[in-house]
Amino acid sequence: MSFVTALVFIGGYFLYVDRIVTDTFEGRRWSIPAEVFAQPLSLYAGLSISPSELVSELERLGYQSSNDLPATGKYRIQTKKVDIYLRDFAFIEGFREGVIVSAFFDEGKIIKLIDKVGKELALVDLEPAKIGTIFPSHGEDRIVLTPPEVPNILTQGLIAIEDREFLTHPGFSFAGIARAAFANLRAGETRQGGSTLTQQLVKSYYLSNEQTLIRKLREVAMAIVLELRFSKGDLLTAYTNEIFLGQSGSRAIHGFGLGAQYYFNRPLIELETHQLATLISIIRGPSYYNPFRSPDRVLSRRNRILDTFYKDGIINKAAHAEAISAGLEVTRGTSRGGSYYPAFMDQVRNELKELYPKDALSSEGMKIFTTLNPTIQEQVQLAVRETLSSIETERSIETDSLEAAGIVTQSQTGEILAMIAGRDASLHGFNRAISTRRSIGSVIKPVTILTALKADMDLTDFVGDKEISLPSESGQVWSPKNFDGKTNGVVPLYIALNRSLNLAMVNLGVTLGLEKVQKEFELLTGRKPRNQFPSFLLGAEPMSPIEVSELYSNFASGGFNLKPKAVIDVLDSAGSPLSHHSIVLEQTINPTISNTLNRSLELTMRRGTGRFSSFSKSGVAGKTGTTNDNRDSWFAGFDDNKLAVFWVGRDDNKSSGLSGASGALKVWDASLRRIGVSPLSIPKDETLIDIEYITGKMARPSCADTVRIPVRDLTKLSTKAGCSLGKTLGERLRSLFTN
Amino acid sequence: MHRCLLIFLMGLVGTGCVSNIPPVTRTPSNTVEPQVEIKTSTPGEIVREDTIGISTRYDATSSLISQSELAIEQMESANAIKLIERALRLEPKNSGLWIKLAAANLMEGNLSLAAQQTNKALALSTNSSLSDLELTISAHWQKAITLIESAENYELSDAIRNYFPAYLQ
Repeated sequence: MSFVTALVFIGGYFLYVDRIVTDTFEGRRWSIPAEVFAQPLSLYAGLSISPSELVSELERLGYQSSNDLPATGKYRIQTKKVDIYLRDFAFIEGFREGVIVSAFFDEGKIIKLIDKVGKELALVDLEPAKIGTIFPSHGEDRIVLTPPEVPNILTQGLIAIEDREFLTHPGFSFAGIARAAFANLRAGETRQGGSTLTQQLVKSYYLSNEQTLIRKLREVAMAIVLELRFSKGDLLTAYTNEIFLGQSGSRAIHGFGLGAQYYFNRPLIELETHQLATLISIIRGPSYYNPFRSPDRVLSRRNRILDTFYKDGIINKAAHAEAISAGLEVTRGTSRGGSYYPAFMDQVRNELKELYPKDALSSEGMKIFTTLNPTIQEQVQLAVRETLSSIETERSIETDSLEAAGIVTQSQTGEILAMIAGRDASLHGFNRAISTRRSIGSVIKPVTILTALKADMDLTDFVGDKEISLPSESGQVWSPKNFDGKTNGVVPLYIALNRSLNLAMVNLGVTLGLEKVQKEFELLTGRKPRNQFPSFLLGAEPMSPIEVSELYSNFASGGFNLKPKAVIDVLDSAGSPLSHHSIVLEQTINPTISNTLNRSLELTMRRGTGRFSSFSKSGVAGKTGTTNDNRDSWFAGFDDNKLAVFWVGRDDNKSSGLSGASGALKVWDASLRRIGVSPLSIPKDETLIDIEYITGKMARPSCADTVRIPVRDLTKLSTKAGCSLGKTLGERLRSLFTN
Repeated sequence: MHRCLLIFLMGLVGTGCVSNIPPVTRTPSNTVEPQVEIKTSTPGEIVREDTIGISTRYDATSSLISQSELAIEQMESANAIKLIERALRLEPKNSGLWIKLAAANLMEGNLSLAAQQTNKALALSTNSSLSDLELTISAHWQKAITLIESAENYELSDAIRNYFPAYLQ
C-alpha cells in the first residue's frame, strides 16, 4: 500500500514538474534580439579604395588572411589584387551564398571585379557590420544557431568536457558526480562540475543559483523530465543557444553564436579548434574565466581542454600541437557590443518606436538595416576626441571638460552616416546629438538671408549695420551688439552673413518682419520656433545637433527638407520585409534661390568667419555660431555630398571660451580631413556677376578683390567707378584661383 | 530501467513522451545574382554624371537599374524602389535616378512622394536639359500608367492623371 502511495506521490510530482518544464520549454521561443546592421560596403569598378583599405574593411568584419581561401571569411592580398571568400548573408534583396570574388586595383581604385570563373561583376557587397542588438530589459542577447551551424568539434568537446555520459544518462549522472568530486579533490580546486548538460540547461532556464538540497532535487527532476520529453539533439541545440558566456554592461551574452562574435568577432562556424576550446573554457565561470581580464588563466584552462580533446581522439596530434601553440586571439571587434555605436542606436530606436513595440524589437529576431557608415563614424569620433584634447591643451582648458556632439549625413538623401554623442563613443546615456538643446547663435542667420532672397532681394542689396533697440522676452529693451562692438554703416547682404554682423542681421530681420523669418524657419524645420522674440534672429533658439542638421539639409540638398534618418529596412527573422523606410523629401527652396544662398555660405567659408578652415577655399559652404559668453560653439557645413553639424561646449553650460570658429569649426575641419572633401558643384547655367567684395558694386576688370555672385536684378547694381585697391600682378593671379 | 519506470509513471498520469523544440527558421535562399547584361533604360536614358570616374561595361548603377526595371515589369515596385535607392546611394545627384524612383513610387501609389522626387530631379537638371527631362518624366509616367492599367488598377491610374496633369496629356 505504502509502495503504491509512494508511486502515486512520485508520479504526481513528476506530472507537476512536467507541466512546468514542458510548457515552458516547448513554448519557449528564444527572445532573439533584433540585429542592427550598418551600410554594407559596395565594391564596384571605379570605387576609390586601395587594397590595404579594403583589407582594413575586411578585418573589421573579422576576415582573416589566408593563402588558399579554404572557407568563407578569408582573404588573400596580392599585388594590385585582393581575393575574398565572402560569407553567406541575408541582404535586404535576398540571401547570398558565400562566394569567391577578386578585386583588381589601379591608382587607388577598383578597376575590375570578377567571380571564381572570371565573370565580370558590376557590384559586390561585403556583408554589413553588425553594429548592435536591441536586447530586452532582462538583458539576454543571443544569436540562435541551428545544428548545422554548430561545428562538430564544439559538440564533441562540450560532451567531453562538461558531460561525458550525456548521450546515455537520463538527465543526471551518479558516475559524473563521483568523478567530478574525485577530480576536484585530487586537484585541490573545482575543476569539474557534477552537473550534466541537461542540469545546466535546467539551471539556466528555470532555477536560481541558490545551493540547497531541495533546489538540487528539483534540478534533477526537471532534467529527467526534459530527457524524457525531448531528444538529445534538441537538448544540445538548446544548450548551445542558452548557455551564459559573459556580461557586457547590462547585456548578457548567451549561446555560442553570440559568444563567437563577442570574443572573436567571427561567426561560430569559422572558429578554429583553439578558439572553440576557449569558449568551452568560459562556461565554468564567465567572470572568473573572462579572457579579456584573465587571459593567462583562460589560456591555461583552454590548453587543458585541448589536451582532453586530443586524449579523446577529437583532434589528432598535429591539430593539438597547432592549437596549443596559438594565442587566445580574443578581439574587441565591432560586433562585440550590444551597441557599439550607442548614439546611432538611440536614433534607430527612436525611428522604430512608432512602428514596433519594444518587445517585438527585443525578441522576434528582426534584422534592421541602417545607413551608418562605420568608417566615417570611427574617423569622425577620432577627430572629435583628438580635437577636443588639442583645444584643451592649447588653451589650457581643464582636461576632459569640453564635450561635443555632431551628425554627418548624406546631403542629398538625409541618411545619417555618423552620429557623435560625446567625446567618448562607448558611453551610453544622455545623447547630446539628439537631446541637447542649446542656442545655435549665428548658425541661424542663413534663414534670414533666405527670407530676404525669397522676398526678391539679392545678395548685393544693402542693409544697415547700425544700432537698434527692441523689446526682449523679459520686457526690457534689447540692444544687440556686433562681436567687435563696432558698426559698419550699410553693407551688402553677403557681407552681413560672411562677417556674421549681428546688427545688420537684426535690422534685416526686422525689415523683413520677424514673423516672416520665423515662418521660413517653420517651413525649413517643420516646427515653430521656441523663441518668439527678436533675439531669435541672432540664434537665441535652442536646438539639438540633429535639428540643426535638418535645418541645414534644406541648404545642402539644394532646397529640400530631409529629416535625418537611420533606418533603411526591417526584415523579420526569416528575411521577409516588414517595413521599408523610404527617402522622404520636401522642396522648400527653389533651385535658383538655393544656389544663391549656398554661394553666400561658400563665401562665408572663403572670406568670412569660416576662413580659418583648411578647406575654406576648397568649395565648401558653412556657417559658424557662437552664443553669449562663449557657452556654445557651433558649426554647420557641407560639401557636395556630406553635411556635418557639430556643437562644442560644456555640459554644465559654463563658458568654454570658444567661438564657433575656434571650437566646432576645428572639429568639422578635423573630421573632413579624415573623411575627405568633394567641392560643391556649381550649377552649369548659373550666371555669376563679378562684384567688388568690399563695396558690393559691379566690378570693373581692373578691380582687385572681386567675388562672383549670382544677381537676379542687375538694374539695382551700381558699377564701381574706380577700384578701392589697385590690382597687383599677384592679386590678379590669386583672383583667378579664388573665385 | 529508471527511464522505463518514469515513462510508465507519466503514462499513468496521462502525459505523452514525444515532443520537439520548434525549429528556428533562418534565411531564405532566393539568391540575387548581379546582372551582367545592361538593358538600355527606356524610356529615356539615365542622365549620367561622371561621378564614378571610370567607364566600365558592367557599371554598378546600371546593374541596379536593370534589376529595378525588371522588378517594375513584374509589378514589384516595392523591390524596384529599394534597388533605385541603392543606386542613389552611389549617385545621389543623378536626376535620372530620381525620376525612376518617382515612377516606382507612382506605382506604389505614393503620389506626393513621387511629386517631391520629381521636383528633386528637376532641381538637379540644368536649364538646357530641362525640356529633355520633362519629356523623360512624361514617358516614365505614361509607362507607369500603362503597367498600372494592365493590372486593372484604374483608380490609381486616374489618381496619377489627376495629380500630374502636366506630364500626362
